[in-house]
Amino acid sequence: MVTSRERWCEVALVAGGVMLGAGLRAGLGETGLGLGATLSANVAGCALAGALARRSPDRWRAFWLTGVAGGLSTLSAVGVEVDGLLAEGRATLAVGYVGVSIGAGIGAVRLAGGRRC
Amino acid sequence: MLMVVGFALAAVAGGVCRHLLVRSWRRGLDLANLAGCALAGWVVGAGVDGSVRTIVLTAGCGSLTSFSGVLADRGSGRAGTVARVTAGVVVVVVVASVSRPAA
Repeated sequence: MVTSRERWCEVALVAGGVMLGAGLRAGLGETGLGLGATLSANVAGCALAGALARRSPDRWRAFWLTGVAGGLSTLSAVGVEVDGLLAEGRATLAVGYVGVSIGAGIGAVRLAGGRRC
Repeated sequence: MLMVVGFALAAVAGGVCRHLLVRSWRRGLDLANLAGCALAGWVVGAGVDGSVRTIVLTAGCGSLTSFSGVLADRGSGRAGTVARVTAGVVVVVVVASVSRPAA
């Protein structure tokens, strides 16, 4: 039975984790890496999620998994970057970027989770 | 300072919304991803810029959507994962193109 206080505690942990993850992602965006910044953030978020997937659920899972990993990785930025590439007429790069993002993300989840690719 | 506070509030709002959707509905992550992608598409298409763009797009939409959540979900399989990511990307592109003012 989850109490109301535990629920609020979980929400607070998610909020703290998201601030940390989104802040890291924004910091990566300032490095001038371009597409590499979002790709790095997504791969790092996937690696964190993969590493946590094998651990038994506890209170800090909400902070690290839903908060930090969820805030660090983003799907909307991938879409915005693909939209920009399509507007520049670079459709092949856009498709490749999505493919590399998915492949690297799956690889990161598996490697960090201790599974073979 | 205002920018930092706005960024933090938008990030928290996006992340907590995603958390509550995931907690209350089996397809909550997909709903959060598609909603965040649709909002991001509108921001890009409507030409919103400056601090508002950073706060809404990078903090709000970025935290509402989760790439790692989709890829770490073992239940959907590889084809399902690709389909869910592709759906989000397509939503951004379509909403952005619809929201762009006519030249």
